[in-house]
Amino acid sequence: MKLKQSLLIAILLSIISLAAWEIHWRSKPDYYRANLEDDRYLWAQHRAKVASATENDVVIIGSSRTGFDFNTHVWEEVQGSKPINLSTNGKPPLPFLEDIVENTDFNGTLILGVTPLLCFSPGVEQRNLEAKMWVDHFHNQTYAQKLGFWVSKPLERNLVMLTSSELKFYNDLDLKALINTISIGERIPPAPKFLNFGYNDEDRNLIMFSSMVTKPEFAEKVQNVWNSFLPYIPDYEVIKDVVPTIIEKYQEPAKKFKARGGKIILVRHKAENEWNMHTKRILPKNRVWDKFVELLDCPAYHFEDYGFMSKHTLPDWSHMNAEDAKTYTADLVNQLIKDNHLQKTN
Amino acid sequence: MLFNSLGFIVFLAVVLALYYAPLFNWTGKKAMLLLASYVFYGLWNPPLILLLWISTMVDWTAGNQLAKEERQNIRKLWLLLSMVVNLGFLAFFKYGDFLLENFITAANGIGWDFQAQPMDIILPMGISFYTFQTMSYTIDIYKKKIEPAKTFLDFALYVTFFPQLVAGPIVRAKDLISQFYESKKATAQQFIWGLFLLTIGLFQKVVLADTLLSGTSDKVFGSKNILHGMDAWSGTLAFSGQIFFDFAGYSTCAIGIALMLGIILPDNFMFPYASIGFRDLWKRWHISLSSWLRDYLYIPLGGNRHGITRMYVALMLTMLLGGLWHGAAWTFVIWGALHGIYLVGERLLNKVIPVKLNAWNGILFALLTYTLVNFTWVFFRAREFSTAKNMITSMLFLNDEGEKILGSFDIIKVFTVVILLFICHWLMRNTNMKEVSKKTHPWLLGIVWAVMFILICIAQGSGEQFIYFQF
Repeated sequence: MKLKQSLLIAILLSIISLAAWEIHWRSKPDYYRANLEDDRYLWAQHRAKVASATENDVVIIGSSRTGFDFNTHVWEEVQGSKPINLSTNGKPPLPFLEDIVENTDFNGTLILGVTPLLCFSPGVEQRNLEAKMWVDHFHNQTYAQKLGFWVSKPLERNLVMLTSSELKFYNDLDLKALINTISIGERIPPAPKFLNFGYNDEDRNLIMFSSMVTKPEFAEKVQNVWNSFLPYIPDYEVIKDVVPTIIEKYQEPAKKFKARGGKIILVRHKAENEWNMHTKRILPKNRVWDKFVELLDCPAYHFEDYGFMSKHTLPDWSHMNAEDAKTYTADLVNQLIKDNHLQKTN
Repeated sequence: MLFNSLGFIVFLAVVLALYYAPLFNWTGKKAMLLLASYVFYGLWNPPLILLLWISTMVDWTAGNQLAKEERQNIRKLWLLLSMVVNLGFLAFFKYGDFLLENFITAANGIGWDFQAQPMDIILPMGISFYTFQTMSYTIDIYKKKIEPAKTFLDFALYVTFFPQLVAGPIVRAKDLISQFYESKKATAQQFIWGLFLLTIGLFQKVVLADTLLSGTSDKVFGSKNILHGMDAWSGTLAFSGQIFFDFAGYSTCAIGIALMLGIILPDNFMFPYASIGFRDLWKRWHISLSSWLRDYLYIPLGGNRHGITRMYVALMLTMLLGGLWHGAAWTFVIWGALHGIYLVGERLLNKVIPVKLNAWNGILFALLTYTLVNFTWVFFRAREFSTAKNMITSMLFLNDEGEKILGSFDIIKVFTVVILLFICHWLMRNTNMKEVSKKTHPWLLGIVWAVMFILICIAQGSGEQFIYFQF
């Protein structure tokens, strides 16, 4: 056996092929860029900061709108200190609220971003379970996993071909995602092909690709994804018996958190066009949001109530582009300071 | 620590560098390997190293006492001590909750209203593997088949050797400890072949098991609904491929890593899906466990020395306990029972209908064996009997209105991979990878190697745990 020869060939071919693969994806900066993946490992790294957070600190929870619409660097410039961003793309905030309440002594300010369809619509139990997996990961992660995360950091920061997500986006670059783009026939109704349209920095801010603004066809593709499932979610009348139970699950942890001196601020970010239309149909504001605010008895900011919250146009009807997110964050933090919910620390 | 993680690649590089650097003599290298093995295990859950230490100390002491002691009753006590400690750990950590759950069911069944909270015991990774390995050491000394290890270091390394610590192969003392007595260093050929095996193992795990098959299997077995026959078959075939690639992948990595250190571990899989019958299957699937069960359970139970009826009883008991070894659930017992029934049935049929095998009927019998194996995998994978029942009825096409949950491409993908797997096993049935590699042109071998490595890199993998770690 001439194994040395085979090894050399394998090394050479691997280097050439992987370099070509990387160069290919680097040539598409409108859709891909190298960054540390916003996964449970990065989330856990930020979650660990809550242990030393004081009553003057801010923790943000919520889902993708909270991730895209807020910019914690701008927040820091305006208020003076950077909030801990624990918002999670595609996951409802309840398990994270429960985790902070049950497993920490944090009694500062908690910003709870609400995307009604993600938080309150039926099927949330499964989404909560997925969110709970991140919480469990934080509490149970092994030293081996921490080592793996540490080793993977430089690779993820520098290689575009490692673009991948636990949310399994249709346009991810891992082999499973690439294979799943193949479709033959229509044996079952096709599942929504969720697209990634942004990246994240290491403070876990989600940043929309500028091509979502400059290339309308990209934004349209994302809008088509929303349209592939939003119209099929049943009306409020069909689900009205289930929704109150889902909402009530937030009451107990919120009460406990406030009892120990913590402050919760509810934020309902903007949605427009089909996203807003279907949200109103499925979870009307007066039946759901108002009830939620009343139940939690917290300061609440709804985009329809404040001009600065609704002035931006959303490329995909649901999330802000990176520049608007900066203005939006500054405006909201200033409003919170004005309303005495936050104090300037700089 | 998982072989399919970046952390392990760094760990292995450091271990190899220390092993081959002119820093230590052979004893120093063994001490380094032992320490590395504790780090390998401890990075998962440091306190559970204590169990390894206790197991090591108990069997080291018991082994030495058994070698010295002549009085049979005292020797039995030393053996008993080893068994109680090892099986006690296994019973507590692996079967504690299962035993409690069944006790509650039995108590309630006879009218005693007894309730208790589950103990939620952490299952120490690989406990079933290292427990069986250390027990074989003590039993072999008791039977005077082997001498105790020459030094404590040799024995501790035998118990803890990181390539095979958490998922085997379960290596006998005579095969491994003796390799530690003399300085070992891989030749260039061995090192490169070890690297090749590591690549194949990772390819099996990361690409074939996790990327191509696990999704379908998880989706099908996670469904609460009654499924269409095609979906049920696809899910089961996907699992049959997944578990093979996952476990054989681990074993191949372990053998490759050990070889890079100059240590030879035995084969654990010999193309099992081309088995002709179930006796053949158990000579090819998880060989180190099946030979352990044969030598330390089936033969002590009487084997084939006390007539046919007792042999069948021994066979059934061995397979039932073999099933339970895999997990603390009745579904695993049923899996073992089915294999026991297959083995007994095969022996009975062989007597009634003697078959002369040739290439043509051989492949049909292999296909029949594989089909029957798939029905056992349903019980192995299903977490509940209701799921298994639904799956079996769907696979027998008794659920006409079963739900379709898989897309056409998913089904085609699974069938393609599994058919290729079966053909590959059939072609390789009477040979091995090394022989085939010898006959392959170096260029072709290099290209295949590169393709596997590139696909591993692109697959990325999310550090999915190996299925057998939970056993």
